[in-house]
Amino acid sequence: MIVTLFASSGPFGSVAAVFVTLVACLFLLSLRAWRGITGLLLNRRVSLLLDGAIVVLMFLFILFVYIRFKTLA
Amino acid sequence: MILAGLGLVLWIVSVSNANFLAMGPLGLVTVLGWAYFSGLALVVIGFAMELMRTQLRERRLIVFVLLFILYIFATACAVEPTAALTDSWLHAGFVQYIYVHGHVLNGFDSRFSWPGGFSLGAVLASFAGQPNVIGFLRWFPPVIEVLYLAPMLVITRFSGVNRRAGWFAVALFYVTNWIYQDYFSPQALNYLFFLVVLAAVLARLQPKWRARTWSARLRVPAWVSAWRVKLFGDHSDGYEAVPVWGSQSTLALLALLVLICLASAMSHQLTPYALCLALGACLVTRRLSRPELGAVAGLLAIGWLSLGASNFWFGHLTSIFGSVGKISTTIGSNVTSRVTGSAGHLFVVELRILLTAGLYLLAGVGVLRRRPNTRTLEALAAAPFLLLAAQNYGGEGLLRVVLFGLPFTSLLAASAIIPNTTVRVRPRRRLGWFTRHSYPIMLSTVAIVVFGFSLATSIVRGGNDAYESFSIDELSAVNYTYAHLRPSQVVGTISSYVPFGSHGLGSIKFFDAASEASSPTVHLMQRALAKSHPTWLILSKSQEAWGEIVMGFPPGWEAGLESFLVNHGYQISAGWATATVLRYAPGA
Repeated sequence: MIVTLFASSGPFGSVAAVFVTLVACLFLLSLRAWRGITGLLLNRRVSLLLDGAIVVLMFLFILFVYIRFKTLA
Repeated sequence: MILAGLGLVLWIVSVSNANFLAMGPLGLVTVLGWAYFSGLALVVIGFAMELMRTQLRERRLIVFVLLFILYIFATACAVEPTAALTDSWLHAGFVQYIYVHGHVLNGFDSRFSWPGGFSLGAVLASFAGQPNVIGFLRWFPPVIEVLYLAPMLVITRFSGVNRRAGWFAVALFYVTNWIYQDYFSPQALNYLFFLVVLAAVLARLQPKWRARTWSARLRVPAWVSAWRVKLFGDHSDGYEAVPVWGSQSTLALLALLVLICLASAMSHQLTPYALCLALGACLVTRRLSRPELGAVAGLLAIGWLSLGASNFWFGHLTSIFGSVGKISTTIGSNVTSRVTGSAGHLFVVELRILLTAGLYLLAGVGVLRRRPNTRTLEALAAAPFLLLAAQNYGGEGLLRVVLFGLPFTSLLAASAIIPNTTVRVRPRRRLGWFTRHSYPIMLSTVAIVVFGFSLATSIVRGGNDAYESFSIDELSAVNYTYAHLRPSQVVGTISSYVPFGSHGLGSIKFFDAASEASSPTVHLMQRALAKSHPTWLILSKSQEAWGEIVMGFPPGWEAGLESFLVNHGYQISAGWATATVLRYAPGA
């Protein structure tokens, strides 16, 4: 099933995949900015989790955009 | 203010007496008489005197800056009877299409994949009760340049230079802006976005230094700090810039800036990336304490490219990424390939290069003379050069690099002459005669620099106008063609220097004879026209000037081409002093 799921990279370059990762990145970045500007104190672990999630989502976004370029262009 | 008044009167006299039809190979400057240059000199002297006053009178300085805008950007609009540049008419056509149909024309042109600016134009036309935006075209350049003034004043106010140098930089920004990207275009609108975002970032986060409270692992080694102080005068280690506004105001401003970044991502191919680089430069030099804005701007730009602009890059990915890393090719297509044409055209091109080099040289002197806390201005001036490594932008990448760096190179150039951080201008060392005469020396230096740059910009900015501007006759010829065109008929021109494209986007077939060959000659264009025989053919003075000035064709070549066409099935359908419309009627 896993082989079937990853047999084609096309779905990862779809509009939905790119759009969802983009919106998720934007949301988490907005959250981070809001937290920093209002001075909201967060646990170090939560801060690292937030930053880590942003980095991972940005990586996924770039990867999906790259796959989109490769499959469609 | 007497000098300002005289300058205004002389400008009116010069544009009233200018004869557009007498324009020579050097362009607009050939029809501007002594009144223009005298008036410009008076304005420059008045500005220099106001700038060197002990107490600055900012309202009067604004008046002089507005006069610079009038001289540099409004002269062409006043002298030339219609809007210049074919692209401005084509952009009006894009707006017209959206206005009429309510959506873009997919697959027609790459610019339609970034339709934000054109949609805004359609909204404005509708709001103003106009059927199209042609009425906005002619005077758009001075209007948009006046709009640039507000963010420029904010940038200079919060850039770290003193107020006197800031005003000097504003003047230099306008008198060195030969780049001519302020015609009716998405670039002009996006440059406003670019300036507004940077003005908001620099104003919101003034360099109020607070000791860092981050963990020790983020501090740099002591030897790095020592070299940074020695090389860059950067004393900011261990400190960070903090916002002076409250959290609610900052959040509201950030939300607005994100909206502007979204608008920019949807309306221009290059500006969002230039904005990202500029925000990155602010972050690295600690004028921006938070990275989220730059990250959001980048994500929105890439997101639009991959989702909204897929019609453009579908099958054309090499046009976006093909020039990545090819810097020498990019510079070649931007500089070397433009240094061609007649002696007059070569003079204009070389003067542009000289003007830009002069500005950057002065900026280099400013980098050495000033002693700031951070090198944000230097980073902002240098950041746009990274764009060249990614894209040659159809041979205009270097122009855009100069454009995006212009506010900051102007500030650095101003710092070459007024490097003090305090407002009062005092000599650093007492040097006898120079000290006693420091005021007239400074006044003369400012006046000579501003006059030299404004003179050069006046020449080069209108240097292509012999073939890039259009007469009323040429516009009449185009309108005549539109009125008589039937479906499936083709409209042809010799070159693209015709005010064509404002109507019938996507429905009118167009043939450009010069584009059929990489190095067109009169003979090749004759063959192309004879083979394709477009139904309607527009001949005009601007196309003839293009042939003589840029391509080196002999004077009167267009008359020979017209004779050839008349002997090969064409007849003259309508004629004006500076334009002719031919119709293909082989049986007649």
